[in-house]
Amino acid sequence: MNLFVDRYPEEAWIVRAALASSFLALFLGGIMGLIQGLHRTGFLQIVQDSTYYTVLTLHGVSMVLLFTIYFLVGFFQWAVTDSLDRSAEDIRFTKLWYFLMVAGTVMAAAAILGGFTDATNLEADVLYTFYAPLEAHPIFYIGLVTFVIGTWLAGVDWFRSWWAWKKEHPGERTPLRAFMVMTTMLMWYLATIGVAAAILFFILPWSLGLVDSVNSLLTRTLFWFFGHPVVYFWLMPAYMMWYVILPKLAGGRLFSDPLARIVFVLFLLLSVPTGIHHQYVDPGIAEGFKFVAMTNTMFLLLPSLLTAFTVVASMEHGARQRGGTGRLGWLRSLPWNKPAFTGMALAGLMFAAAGFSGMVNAGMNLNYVIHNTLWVPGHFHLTVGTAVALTFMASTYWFLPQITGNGVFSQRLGLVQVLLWFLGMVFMGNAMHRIGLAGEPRRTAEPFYDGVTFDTALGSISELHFQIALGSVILTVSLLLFMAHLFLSWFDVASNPAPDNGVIPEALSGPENAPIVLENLRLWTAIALVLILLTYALPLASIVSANGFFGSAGTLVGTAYEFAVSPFVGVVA
Amino acid sequence: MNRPSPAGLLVALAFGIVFVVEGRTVLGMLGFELPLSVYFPVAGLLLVAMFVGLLLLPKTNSKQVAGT
Amino acid sequence: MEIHRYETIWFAASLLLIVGFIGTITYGAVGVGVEMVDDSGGTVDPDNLGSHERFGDTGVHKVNESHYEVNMIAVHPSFIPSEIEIPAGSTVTFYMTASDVTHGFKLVDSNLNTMIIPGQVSEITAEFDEPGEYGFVCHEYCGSLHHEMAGNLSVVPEDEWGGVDS
Repeated sequence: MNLFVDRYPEEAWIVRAALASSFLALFLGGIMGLIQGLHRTGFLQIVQDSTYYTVLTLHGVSMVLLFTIYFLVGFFQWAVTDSLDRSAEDIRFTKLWYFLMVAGTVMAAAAILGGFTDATNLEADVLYTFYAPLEAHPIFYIGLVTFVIGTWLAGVDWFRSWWAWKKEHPGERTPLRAFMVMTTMLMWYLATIGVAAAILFFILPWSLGLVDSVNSLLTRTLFWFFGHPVVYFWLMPAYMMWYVILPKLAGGRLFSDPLARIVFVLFLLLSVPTGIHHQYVDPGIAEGFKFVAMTNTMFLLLPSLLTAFTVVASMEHGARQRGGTGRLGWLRSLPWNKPAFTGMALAGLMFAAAGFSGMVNAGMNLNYVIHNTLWVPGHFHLTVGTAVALTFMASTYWFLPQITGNGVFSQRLGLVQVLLWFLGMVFMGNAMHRIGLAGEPRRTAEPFYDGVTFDTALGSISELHFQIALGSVILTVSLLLFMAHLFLSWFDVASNPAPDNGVIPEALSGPENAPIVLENLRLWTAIALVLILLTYALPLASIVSANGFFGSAGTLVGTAYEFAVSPFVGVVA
Repeated sequence: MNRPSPAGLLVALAFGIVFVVEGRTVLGMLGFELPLSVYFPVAGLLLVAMFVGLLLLPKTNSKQVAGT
Repeated sequence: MEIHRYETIWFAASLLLIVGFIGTITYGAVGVGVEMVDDSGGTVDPDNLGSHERFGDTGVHKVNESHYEVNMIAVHPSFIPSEIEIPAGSTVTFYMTASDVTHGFKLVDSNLNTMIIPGQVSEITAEFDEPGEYGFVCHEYCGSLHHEMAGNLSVVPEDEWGGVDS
């Protein structure tokens, strides 16, 4: 037997546990999404306006942190174990990081769910960006930090495997999947410095009452230090699937292994020093710093554009292997009946559309028109909501048999599910972008104001609101189908045999063609650090010198604490 | 051209709906602002016609005769 | 390393696109002079706005015949002032800050858009040539009544302007 679950049963258990956690979060977040989609468009309001923000917090945290990260740690565990072909160094350590993540999740979730009832003082209606001085119960921040520490240890686990593998295989190139995991985790370590510093040094002490105040702009800037690269933390696993699984599903092989590595190194270099592009309209940050972030952001388009080429080229190669001919006729020879393939291909298509709206966001001047309007959620419902989420769901149709040993319940049901997700998101994404252009703000329970009207260039706002509501309903149907199908497959209701298709084929242009310097992850991490220092040292220094570490004057306790902690913060900043 | 497989029909239908939805925007950009009550019935009928047309295509492989 | 010819072309075109984007935006900032929100507004103590020379006196202020200033405080769930009247044909500089949490300001149907952050002063300048009515909204979640935080700006003909009141 060639199935992952037969070769590495203990690791497969971790992967299954991570996936189960992930889909639980997806389900919860999805239901919240339905409530929001119907509420803010005025079609059905089953919660109070003030509760809308609790719903929104739950939706954001579930989707962007829990669903995505649980899925990717499971996927990475598979990728490392399978591509290095070795068990975890110590499975107890692997379980430790998983349960740390769960513990963090339980704490943060308790704080958020407390917002639905007045019976406790637990509350975290701060949305997933938790901009201080909006304040959540301390357990929310402690939960987030615990969750992130769990992911750090997961990275340590995979690096241990990689180092042990290198010792046994001197001079060999790291297998592609392991290489991708290592670069992604290095990026993640750099990125999480920001959120860890924001919470541990400033927000948590303040929420516990150790200091009186926070410097809002400082914690906000540290959040976006983390907040932009976190999107690459989801996107890089999705890219990994497009590089390693999609070509196989299309019937061929990856076009170029070295270019895939270059793309991941570019992400490691450029993901972090871009966060200030979320702060183009922030006061207190000089225009020059914003310009540097914009330049980095634009260059970050490069790995995505390269990926677009490789993905399409690999699909065409696969289609021609399957007998496809013609300039575009080969498209018909792709396996459109397989939900894993169709879902990923549609996710890629939507990602191309998202790329265009992302270029608008990234342009400093165009951003003024759409900043914090519904355009922005429109953009990321195409990126994380489709490119990532649909890729993750689609890959599950291929991936699940590898880790459960059971075949999926029904390919056709799966196909309907991914098509519905695509449709729902076309309605919602299109409408959100256009409403945003009309100026309607995001993050609002009731975008209906006295004396403020939003005019669309084409059509009407009410028509677009209808499209959002319709989109949410279609997406919910798709989600329910996905969950039902997952359940039926997981518990092997149809007793379908698992297809024995776990082997990932070599690339057309193999790793031996890659420049050896690509293997030098120390070098790339060092360059990434230099870029981060160049981009962030001056803005952070100027924010701190203008308003201090803690904003307005602190208490005695605060001053003493500030005195003690400042040198550390200086190092981090 | 042959009739697509059931999966192909589903994919075609999904894309058809997308074109119907976005079509009104594109027409608007070209300067033809159509009322909803006119546009959607017409576009919907066109979509149904396309779908029926696909169903009417021969199911079997009809490569044998050149020029058909 | 072997790179396919099409891939080389694609790579070059991608780089060209990126450099082009940066170029147009640089031109917009340097050549045309599109102004960005930056640190020009300075900082302020959010706990003592009442005694601040600017924010102790919110509302519309006339600098000269064609230049007006609007001092504004955002505090959940309102803007102070929320009704603003300015004469047509004037240049208006808005100074905004927050006394509680982070807010946002967007004048609908314009590109006037800024965050309002405690401790920071957002400074944005705009020209209003024609009479008209504009709505503005808070676009950053600031509390349970966030969706009620909005206001109106009326640009009135010069001879109808009622003077400095708010």
